Amino acid sequence: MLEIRWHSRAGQGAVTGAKGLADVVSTTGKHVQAFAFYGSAKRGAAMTAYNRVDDQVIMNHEKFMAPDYVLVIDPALVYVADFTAFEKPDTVYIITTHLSTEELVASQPKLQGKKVYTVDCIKISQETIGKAIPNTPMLGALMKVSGMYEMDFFKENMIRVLKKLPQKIIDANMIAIQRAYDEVK
Amino acid sequence: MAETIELRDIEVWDGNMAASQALRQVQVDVVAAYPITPSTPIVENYANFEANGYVDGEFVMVESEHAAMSGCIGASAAGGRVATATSSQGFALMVETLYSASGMRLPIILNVANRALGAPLNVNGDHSDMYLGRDSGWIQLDAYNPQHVYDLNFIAFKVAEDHDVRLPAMVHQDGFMTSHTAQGVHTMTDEVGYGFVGEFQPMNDMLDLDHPVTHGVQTEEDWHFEHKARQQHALMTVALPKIEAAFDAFEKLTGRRYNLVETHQMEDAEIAVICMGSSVETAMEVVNELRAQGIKAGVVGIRVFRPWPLEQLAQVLKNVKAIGALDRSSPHGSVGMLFNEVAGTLFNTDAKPVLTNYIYGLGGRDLTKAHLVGIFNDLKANMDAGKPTTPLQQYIGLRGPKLSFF
Amino acid sequence: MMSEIKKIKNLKEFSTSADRFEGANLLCPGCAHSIIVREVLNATNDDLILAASTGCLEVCTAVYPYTSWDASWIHIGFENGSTAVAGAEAMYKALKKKGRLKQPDRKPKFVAFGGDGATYDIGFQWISGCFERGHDMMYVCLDNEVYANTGGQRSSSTPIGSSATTSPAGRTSYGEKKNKKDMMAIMAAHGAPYVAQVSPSKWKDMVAKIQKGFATEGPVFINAVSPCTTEWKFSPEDTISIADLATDSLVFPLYEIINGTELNITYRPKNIIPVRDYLGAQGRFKHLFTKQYEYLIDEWQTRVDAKWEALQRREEARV
Ligand SMILES: Cc1ncc(C[n+]2csc(CCOP(=O)(O)OP(=O)(O)O)c2C)c(N)n1
Ligand code: SF4
Ligand SMILES: [Mg+2]
Repeated sequence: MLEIRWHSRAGQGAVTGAKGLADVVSTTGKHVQAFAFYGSAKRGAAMTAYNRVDDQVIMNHEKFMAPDYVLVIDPALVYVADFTAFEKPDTVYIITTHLSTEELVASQPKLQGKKVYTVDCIKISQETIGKAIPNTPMLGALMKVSGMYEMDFFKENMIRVLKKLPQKIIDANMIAIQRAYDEVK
Repeated sequence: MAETIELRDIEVWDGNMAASQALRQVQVDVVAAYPITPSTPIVENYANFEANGYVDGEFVMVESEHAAMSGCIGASAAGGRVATATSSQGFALMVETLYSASGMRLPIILNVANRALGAPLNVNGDHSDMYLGRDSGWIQLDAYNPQHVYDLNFIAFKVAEDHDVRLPAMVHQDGFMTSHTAQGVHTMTDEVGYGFVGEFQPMNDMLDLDHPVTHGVQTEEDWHFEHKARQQHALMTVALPKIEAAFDAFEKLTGRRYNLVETHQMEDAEIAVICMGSSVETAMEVVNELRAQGIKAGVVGIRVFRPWPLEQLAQVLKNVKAIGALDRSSPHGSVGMLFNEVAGTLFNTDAKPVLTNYIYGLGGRDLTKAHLVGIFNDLKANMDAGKPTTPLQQYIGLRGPKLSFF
Repeated sequence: MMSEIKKIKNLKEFSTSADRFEGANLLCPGCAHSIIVREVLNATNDDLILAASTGCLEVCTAVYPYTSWDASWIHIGFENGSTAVAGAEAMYKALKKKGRLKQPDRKPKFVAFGGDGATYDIGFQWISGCFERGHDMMYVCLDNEVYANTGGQRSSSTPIGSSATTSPAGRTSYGEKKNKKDMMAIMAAHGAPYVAQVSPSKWKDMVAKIQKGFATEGPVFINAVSPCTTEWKFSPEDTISIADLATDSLVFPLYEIINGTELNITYRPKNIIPVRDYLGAQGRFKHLFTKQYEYLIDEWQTRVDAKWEALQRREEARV
């Protein structure tokens, strides 16, 4: 079982990102789950979303998770959210930030000795989609770091997932995904 | 004519989308609805279908849940396929009309994304609203994941609209844990889905202008009891076999099997938990792990909550030595509903298991696999001792000191 | 298709035309509810789908195994008769669209009846919702200014000085303290295409308004004064004359409001009767005719005059 935890702010698209990922993964015959913790939180509140992926039918509905991947799509959350909760020794962190990985680890000692990757999904989404919606670029970064799928396959499926959006926005998302894939370090 | 949607064999849907798609596929004639978290997306999705020509019935956005069910009752009595959705406070506001709908024998389908009842106000999932409906005369089916939500909607329409049954039915799912959790859902084509339920066959329809009918009469001690007795007769004697028949037909069509009582590893189980909703599946996973350690544990899930499958449950539990009844609703002043129902189910049988009660997951509190392992440990100790080694009722997953009663 | 307006020449013909509401019912002798219902139903030959809220009308006309209704009729609860018929109307539209109506060439009228309790109080929200959504239906309030079915408790339609069981007159109280809610104005404010006040005693005025209502597309509100022999305390044979006192004293002026803006007074009494005479004819106001509370009768007259004045001003100003 592969488990992923997203840290974001409500409105940044973590739930959509998690559901989009689940959708793509599902097409490869794997079983998926995507869910989130909800409260009455409004836009801007820190929140978490989750993915489970397995070869077997997923029957576990506990919200508790010791994640294999932690995806942080808002730069400030590494300083205010408990984003290392229930980490495993080999948990991989992919974090949105304008800092380099070394600068980030220096600014947040909790990350010392961890597998940390950084990418500026906020900047990428602003420059491509025109809005700070860092969810799709984060998926590009995840593809690179995890080696989960070939980029062509992933993009082709994301186009299907996003099909309700205007073509211009879909195209911009594809560029954002590719850029994050190329830029994550 | 409504346009069809080409679905993939497996769609990644949350429970709400699964319900909306089922409502679309059976081509409901009237949906009268009012939004409340976490069931809101069911009607939002449906409104979207309407806005894009995928359904061509009437979608009436009313001013309260009470009005939603009132409108559904009027529409159903007029003679057509009717459905809506709600949760929690909205369900509570509907309660008066729930009794009207069943007493008037109207086959309305209500999707309930189960949620806690305030105060304190809480949008997350527990079974308080589902329990509130349990004497209302509705058929209550319980889904454990989005696939079940989808499938049980078709089954609900088929059973409820059967002229021998003519009772409304609820399809329950756990708020957020199912309603907002996306998983793979095996779909039917629009044609196959619609075909399973078939065209709506009106009966005593107000819109048959040549045959006027009176709906919702007054009765006092002279006739009320007879009406209620017939209603109970339909629910107990007719509905149960019809539900089983619908389960069989559905299995034939899709290969997916449903049972009045769902079991996991119960053939030789010595200890078992009985629960509802998404917890059933989490418990199954825990049981698999315990079995690997040689512990003969099992899980019982209630699929058909009303009518209560008494005989089937007694059969399943007859050799179990210790049972934990897990209630996701605070019984306030007594033991939990499942404890009572299980006790009543087994009382006149030869089975004399040790039965204890766990209250868990109120307001969406997580039920972890670790909690379940703890419960199975209790049950094992109860079995070995041949009597309860814990208080009869324990609160699980509560912060602070342990809380127990009886 | 257009429904044809039914021609009615005289009262005899009117009272004996199509009987879709049977005289065989359990309402009190002299109950105005049954007269009003009959006048509404007799105003059209079209098919009818009816609803009633819990109240005298409902409990007295559909007592299993009998029914007084020879048109489809539904009752759910006290507050939701409006929404019951709105649901049926929605189903009519759905089945029409889908080509599943059994008699596709007949278009029924949808009518809900409710008491003042069901209308002014507990069912207010449901009615407001139906009118805002614009269902093609008529809502008729049987306004007897009291919860008659449960034995005479006050409603927000109960007028000042009336003695009701939950606002009784006594040594230190003159009964109901609050003025009647102006439901006509509230319903007109919904922008309803047609709102009218009627009295069963002025049957020609009433039939004209009901027919106008039936010819109107969208939600129509009718407030019908319904003298209650039991709670207003007058003898059963006087129902119609009490209704006449109500209209001729201008306590119940007869008027209509079109599209929320155009107000027409439809009846101007030749001889306006003092309000005192209207109050004096009913036991519920008996205590007002004492030294202690007599000042209230003058206040009543002033209020009624002011309202009549205001209606006339509105009519003249076309607002
Ligand atoms: C929810 C609810 N509350 C209270 C009642 C009790 N009840 C039934 S009829 C009625 C009064 C009806 O008054 P009104 O609407 O004015 O009709 P009337 O009987 O005067 O014609 C009351 C209080 C009820 N049936 N339902
Ligand atoms: S109590 Fe009044 S309203 Fe009720 S039936 Fe008698 S007269 Fe009619
Ligand atoms: Mg009344």
